[in-house]
Order: sequence, then C-alpha cells, then structure tokens
Amino acid sequence: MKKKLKIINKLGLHARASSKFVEITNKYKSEIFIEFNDIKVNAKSILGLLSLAISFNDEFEIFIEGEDESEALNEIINIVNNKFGEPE
Amino acid sequence: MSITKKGIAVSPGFAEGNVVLINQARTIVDKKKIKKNKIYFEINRLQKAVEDSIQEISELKKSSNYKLKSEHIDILDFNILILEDEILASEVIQKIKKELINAEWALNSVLTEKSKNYSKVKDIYMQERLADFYYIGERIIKNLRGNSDNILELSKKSILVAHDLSPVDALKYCKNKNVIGLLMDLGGATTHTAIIAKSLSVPAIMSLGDISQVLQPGKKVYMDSYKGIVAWQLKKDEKDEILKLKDEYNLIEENLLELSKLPSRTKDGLEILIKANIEITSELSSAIRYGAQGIGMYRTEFLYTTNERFPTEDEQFEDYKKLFNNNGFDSVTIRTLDIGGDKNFLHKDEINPAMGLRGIRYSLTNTNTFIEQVKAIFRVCIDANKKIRILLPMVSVLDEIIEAKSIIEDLGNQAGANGLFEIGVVIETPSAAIMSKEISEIVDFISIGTNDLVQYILAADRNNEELRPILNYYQPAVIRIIKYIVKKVKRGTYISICGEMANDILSLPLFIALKINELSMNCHSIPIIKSVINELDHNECKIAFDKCLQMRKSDDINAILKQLINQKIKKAKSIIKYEI
Repeated sequence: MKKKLKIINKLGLHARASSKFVEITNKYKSEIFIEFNDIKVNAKSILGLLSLAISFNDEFEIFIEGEDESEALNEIINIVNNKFGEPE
Repeated sequence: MSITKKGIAVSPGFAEGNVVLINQARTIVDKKKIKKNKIYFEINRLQKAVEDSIQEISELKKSSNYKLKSEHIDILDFNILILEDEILASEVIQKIKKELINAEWALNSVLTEKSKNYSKVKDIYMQERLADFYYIGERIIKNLRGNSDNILELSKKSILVAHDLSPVDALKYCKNKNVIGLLMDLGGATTHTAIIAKSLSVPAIMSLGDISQVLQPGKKVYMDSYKGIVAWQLKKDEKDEILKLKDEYNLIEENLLELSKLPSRTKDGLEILIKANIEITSELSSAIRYGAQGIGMYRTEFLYTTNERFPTEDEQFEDYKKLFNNNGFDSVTIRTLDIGGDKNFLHKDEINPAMGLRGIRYSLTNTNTFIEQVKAIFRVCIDANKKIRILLPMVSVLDEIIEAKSIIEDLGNQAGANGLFEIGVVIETPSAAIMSKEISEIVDFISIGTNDLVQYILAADRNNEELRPILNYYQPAVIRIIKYIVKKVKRGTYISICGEMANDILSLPLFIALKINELSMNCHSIPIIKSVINELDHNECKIAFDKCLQMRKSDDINAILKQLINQKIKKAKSIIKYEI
C-alpha cells in the first residue's frame, strides 16, 4: 500500500523528527520506502531519510508492503500529522 | 561549459589545483589510491572507527560528569542512529572496493552525496542539518586517524575550500607548501584570515556564498585572485585563456620584484619609509623579498593563539630573536599583545569584544603576562644589541600610557637595556586621537592604527559586510581625524601608519600630503606602493588633499583621489593591469 503525506511541522524532518520516524519504521517487519523528488530510499535508514532533505510543507509518498503494513501506515500517519509532538 | 563564481579577492595571485574540502571540523581529507590486497584492511579500519565513534558517544551519554539536557541526549542518540545505519557502512565499503580508495575519502564522498540535497533547500532549519553530516564525518575521520591531529598530508597542489576558517587554522593550513589557494563562503578583506593568507602569499578569495557546497573534493579549479574569480569545468580554449592570464600574472610578480628595489621617494624628493607588518617570523623572507625597509609592526598574538595558551618568556625570546637573524633589519617594532576583537583566544564572554578588555587594557590587568613579554623583548635587544620599538595597542587614556611606561622603564633598567628601546602607542581609539597632543609629549613615536580607528570613528563594525557603504577610508571624518592627529602631535613626532589603509593606493596622496614618516603594510603590497610613491609629487598631493578637506561626502573625496592617481600613475597601473 502507498500514501501521500505532507510535513506540517515547521522544522521539517530534522534530527529529532527523523530519529522518531525511523524508530517507528524499524518496529515493523514490513518493507517501507519513501519517495521524494523522484528519489526513493529505505525508510528504515536514517541516512536515507535525511538525504532527502524533506522540509516544512513538502509532500512525499510512502510505500509499505508486509504482514503488518496497515498498523505501520497508521502509526506513520499519526506521527506526521501530530507534528512529531512539536508545538508548531 | 565552464562554471565561474565571483567573490572578494583578498590575497592576490593565481592558482590551479585540486579542491580539498575542509568541513566545519576543519579536517582535511586527501584522496589516496589503495592496493587491492589492502581493501579489507581499509574496511576494517572503517568499521573500527565507526564502532569507536559509537562507543565515544555512548560514553559521553553515560558519563555522570555530563549533566545533559534532554535535547542534548536527543542529539547524541541521533548521532548514534546515523553511525549504526547499515546504509552508511555498506555504501562506504562499496566505494572502497569499487574505486580502490582510502576509507576517509570514501566516507567523505558518501556523506557529501547524502547531504547534497541540502544545498538546494532554502529553509534555514534544514540547512543546519548539513552540520550534522559534518559532525558525523568529523568524528569517524578522527577515529580513522587514531585521534592524531596529523591531517595535512597533502600529496599534491591543493586549493582549500571552507565555509569559514579561523585565522589560527588558516595559518596552520597555509604554511603547508602544497596549499596553493584558499576559497571561503564567508569572510572579507579586513578579516584576520585574509590578512594571514596575504601575509603568506597564498591566493585567497572570500565571500563566495556557497562555494564549499558546490565544489566536490578533488575537483580541478582555477582561481584568479586578482579579480576574485574561481572557475572549473573548463573547455580547452577556456583553459588556454586562463593559462595565458597566469603567464601575465607571473610577469606582474617579476615586475613587482623589480619595483621592490625602488627607493620610496616622491618625484620632488620626499622620503617615506615603507616597512612590513608581519604576524609570524616566517614572513621575514617575504619582507626582504619585497623590499621592506624594516619591520613596522610585529603582531605578537600568534604565539599566543596558535598554542591557545600563554607562551613562556623563553619561548617569546626565541621567537623575537628571529627578527634579527641574518636579515639585516635594523629597525623592528614589536606590538605588545593585542588579544580581543576577532583574535580572542581567551574565549571570554564579552558582549562587545572590540570595545572590551583588549590590548593595553588586558596587559595592565594581567601584568604578569605583560612583564614576561617585555622582559623577552629586552633580552633580545641585549642579545642582538639592536634597538627595538615597543608599540602599545588600544590605548584610550593617558593613565594607561603612564602606567605601562613605568613598568617598561623599570624592567629596562633592571635588564640594563637603557637606550635600546623606544616606547610608542597605536592611535586607534577616538579618545587617543583627541588626546594626541598630550600623548605625543610622553611617548617616543606614534602609529595611527587605521583598521580600528576607521571602525571606531564611524561606529561601524568592520566585519559587517552590510556596512561596506559607510565603512571606507574616504569618509570626510576619517581623513579629518588623521589630519587632526598629525597636526596636534608635538613637532618632530615620528608618525607611522599601520592597518590596511597604509597599502591603499588611493589613500597614498593623503599620507604624502601629511608627510607621514612611515607606512607599514603586508609584504606583498610594498613594491606597488613604492612604485606609486615614485610617480607622485608632494605638492600635487597637498593640493588634492586640501581639496578633499573641503568635501562633505566620501564619493567626492574618492573621485578627487581617483583622478589624481589615474593621471599620475602610469607604471604601477601598467603592471597591475586593473582599473584603480
């Protein structure tokens, strides 16, 4: 399954946010990829995630495949829409 | 198609070489080919360095000595996360295997590749992430080298590219013979780093914006730091063009050496001594090469800042002694410690260090440091049996001069150095300028410190690029204050000019009109200035200067000086080839 998401926290996918992101993706058995600006990276790699330089208001696509894909997708949508727990 | 970028040329020259990127940690990475049978050795080194790095950060986290805030712990965890990322290790290992290169280089290229998207991002928060990549790279490379600080094994002619470089690091790197050029994102002509590059005759261009992000390590670049242009990816004809320029520049250098032999006398016979400002004693050879008539100012800070501690009296003695080593200079001026401003190794938290505890103010509150320095100077006077001028920086009130003088004279008596020294002060604060008459009555000579005087008179920070329109030598207030000082001092007071204005061609007529005794400048500027003096005439300068004094705007003064210089200066102009 795949889904388009938008980064709505001001700081973008910065250090703490990307740490949280991979912490979540690594909990799941499914294969997870992120595509942004025509580059696709493994969403379990913090280095891959960081190399995309996703900023505030950027839209990216997430691809998940595996036995726990729906749970994984739900948690990812939640953390992104909750601005990674940041105030703005 | 070639790519060019223009910045501010701060140290003239021409260079072609390969890019060596210095990241914020100021680590230099060199590309080395490895033999096939060394691949696993190189991979092991990498893995061990990554493990060591993880270990270090974990220990930092655990260590009870550190009361870490949660955001700091987040940063440490983030670093560990990156280090543990399998993609990092596997891509670096791939590169080592495929390209047969050293781990340092492979790591640097992977991190550069991973961070390249950040240079396109406008968002300032995101740009800061670039620093994270640097820190990671820095830590691993440090461990790859087994913590050794020996980072300057450059095997070929290299052009250093950095976001910003401190004066101390610039000195450390530029002393390496294989460093033939310097390119920086930040900085300008009056920064200390620029002065260092100039003094070591290393071509340098600053304020290039994002040069440290667009140039890849190892890339061949051409730099023309007469015009401030960097170029790369040149086609054959473009390369020929630029190499032709290089020949022209070499000719300029030859001509300069010819000019350096000129007497520094105007057409109508007014003599002005041209001396060298130096930061380190290794510059003495350039001072001789370019025809300096003495050392007008030896800035002594470097002995302090390179070691980040106070040098002992013996260390200072050994260093100052070199000033007289077989170079025939009879006249040497040593400026006592002027830490503070942008050269503050004490890292003291002063909100406004340019107006803080610096120069003589520091010396008088830390008299032990001052006494050791003066003692070292006297030992050299006696050892070489030569006279030394002691120059006190940043004086603002008479009391300071009286107090410093009494310390120096007492030490002189004790050392038996009477008659071997003179005491002078730098006039660089507005208050000292106003008090110049009274000051001249109690000192042996004065030196007008133009860099600081200009910034204090105009209340404009010289490191602030946005203040450029205000901050120039041709402001009526600047030339009037210099005239005021010269007219107020006791008759016969020996006056020198130091600071960058001393080697500004357009300002020369002013100094000639005022019959300044000495101009002290970076070595490289000496020949051109000598040549310009030779083509000027004191009377003409006097007329132009009087006209300048009537003006209300810097543009008008600039225009008068430009007209005079462009009319009179044929030889120097034909040599330096650019419009003044």
